[in-house]
Amino acid sequence: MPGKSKAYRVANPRGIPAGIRILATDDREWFEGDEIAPKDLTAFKEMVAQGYIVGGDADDAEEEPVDG
Amino acid sequence: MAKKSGLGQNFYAHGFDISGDVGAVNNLTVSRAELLVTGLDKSAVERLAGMGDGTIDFTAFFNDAAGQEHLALRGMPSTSAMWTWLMGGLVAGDAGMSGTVQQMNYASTRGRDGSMEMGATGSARDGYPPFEDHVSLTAGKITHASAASSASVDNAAATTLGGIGFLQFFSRASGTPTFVIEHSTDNAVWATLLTFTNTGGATPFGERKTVTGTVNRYLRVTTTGVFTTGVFWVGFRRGIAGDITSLA
Repeated sequence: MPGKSKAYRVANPRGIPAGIRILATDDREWFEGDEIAPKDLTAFKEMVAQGYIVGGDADDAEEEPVDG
Repeated sequence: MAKKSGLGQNFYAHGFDISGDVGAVNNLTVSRAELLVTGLDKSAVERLAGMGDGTIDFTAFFNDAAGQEHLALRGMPSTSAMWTWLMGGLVAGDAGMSGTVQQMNYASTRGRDGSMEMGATGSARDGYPPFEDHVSLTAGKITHASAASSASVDNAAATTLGGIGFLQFFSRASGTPTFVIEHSTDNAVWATLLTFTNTGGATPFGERKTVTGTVNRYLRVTTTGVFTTGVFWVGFRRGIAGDITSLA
């Protein structure tokens, strides 16, 4: 999408050892450095606020997530 | 949570489930030293809380089978041991207390009636109060056949003062399980809160691990790695105002 080239990535604010997932839902999991999008999570904004997700454009986090 | 009897409890000693051997917890005390600081301009005592301390004393029935009280306690380790008393029951969310203690004794009594009772005492040793309260995140001692997540525990609200995770690892059939506590704002998206340092192997163990900052409303235990039949218990204590050491 034009003007939105910077991807969100999963961060590791709590120093979790390598190889342990940082975020998960019932059917997906993300490790440190994985790309992630607002539509992937219901609680995307909260995870950004808590440092689990970094990068992206501020406007993206306001997008409605897709449930499930 | 409700008024309860002392029935249906468990007691774990550093990775040994000795619930069937322990017959009585004679005393568990968490205390703070009293510092008297009364000024001469006062007409009644002024006190401050000093160092925290704690001790536990229990009685067990002699049992030298594998994994039971005699093997768990006879070694009198010079290192710390984590003891867990699930006094509130065996449902996830029930209350209990865990502490890393120095085992101070291992006493034996043979009664005239032929009874054989053993006793042990543990006291604070690592610079923080032993026997911190917690809620169980598992329904007592549970088994994961392979890597999995347990049902979540709803603590009603998020907190911001960190917390302490407690793990009792009993056994696994093969492989190396890693134990993780995850938290969630909505019971759907899970973020890793802490990973216990020790992984499951041939040796039982207990571990206490702290985490700072925000702890979301929902908590659950997840095991990772390649393993079969991991047996463990996990509890968590949310930090509260007034903790001797703040984990904010």
